[in-house]
Amino acid sequence: MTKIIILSVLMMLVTAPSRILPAFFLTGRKLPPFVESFLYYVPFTILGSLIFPDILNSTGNIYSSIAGAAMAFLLAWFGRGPLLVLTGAIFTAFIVSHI
Amino acid sequence: MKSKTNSNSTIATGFINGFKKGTPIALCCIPGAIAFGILAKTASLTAWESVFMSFIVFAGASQFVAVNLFTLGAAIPEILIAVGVLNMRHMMMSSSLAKKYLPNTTFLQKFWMGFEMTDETFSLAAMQKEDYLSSEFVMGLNLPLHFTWTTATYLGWIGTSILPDSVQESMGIAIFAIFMGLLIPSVRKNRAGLIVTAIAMAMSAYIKWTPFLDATINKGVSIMITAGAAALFGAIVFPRKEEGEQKPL
Repeated sequence: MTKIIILSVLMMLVTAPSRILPAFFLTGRKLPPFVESFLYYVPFTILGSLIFPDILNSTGNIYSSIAGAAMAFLLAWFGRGPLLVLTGAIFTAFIVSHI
Repeated sequence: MKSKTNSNSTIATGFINGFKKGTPIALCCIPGAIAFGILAKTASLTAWESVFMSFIVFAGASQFVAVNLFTLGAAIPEILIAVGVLNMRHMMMSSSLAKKYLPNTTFLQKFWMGFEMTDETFSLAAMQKEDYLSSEFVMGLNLPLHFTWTTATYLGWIGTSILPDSVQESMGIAIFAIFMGLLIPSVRKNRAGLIVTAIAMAMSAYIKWTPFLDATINKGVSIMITAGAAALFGAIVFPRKEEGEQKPL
């Protein structure tokens, strides 16, 4: 057992319970309306915090990042599928980084 | 209340559905996993150690931080604290997602669905339109990411970067584009959702752009604070009516 293997196992013991335990305690359980409301909004806010502002540094160039983000926003807003949003954003970022 | 699930007639079709939905997001994470493999190699981890860590820890940011700290000679408890704090946000995600697991989910299924949950697969699963998700669907959705994360770590370690640098840089936007593709259609006609999302973004930008806060608060904590506060705001200002009145995610 190397130090890294031991470290990995300990890291798993630290990270896994935070993901696993809620599945046991909350599945199929009715919570107070306030908590239910809170948990309802969590996916939106998590995505918001994940996307912004980190998307602005995502390609290593602010202009191509902004262009790609704008393209992704437009495509998603007008209801295009995930694959088009994805390729549209990458393609736009790629083009802008080359002009 | 009507309990719509996306489980079709058989277990196999549910799993395959999930697998199909999970594949694009899994491809997006390849550059990240390659980068981790490269970092692990420069930090003189063996290929086996790097792949082992990717397989059992399966948490991108935590692995980068851990290997960085390790090379700086940090003590193991120090690394564990950093990793623990970075991952606390998963508790919030897992709690929110648990509301969509079917009540009859078995012990092992809950265990494995929790173990494989990541920012990416959480986002994907949470944004599905159905009220409930069958466990085979969720497991099918998680599996491709776990697989590509582990194998691409190995590729990075071996040093085979499949794509040219300029394409790889543009690929950096991939995961964010996926996130927007998930988020925007569901907030477009949901005023409360749109407002809480904007608040989370503004707070997250405030932390990032205030040098003092950016230096003291790591990304995991920032996500937890900003997403938590914005969701709290939503729960106070736009409380949800009893079941069924508003369309769930």
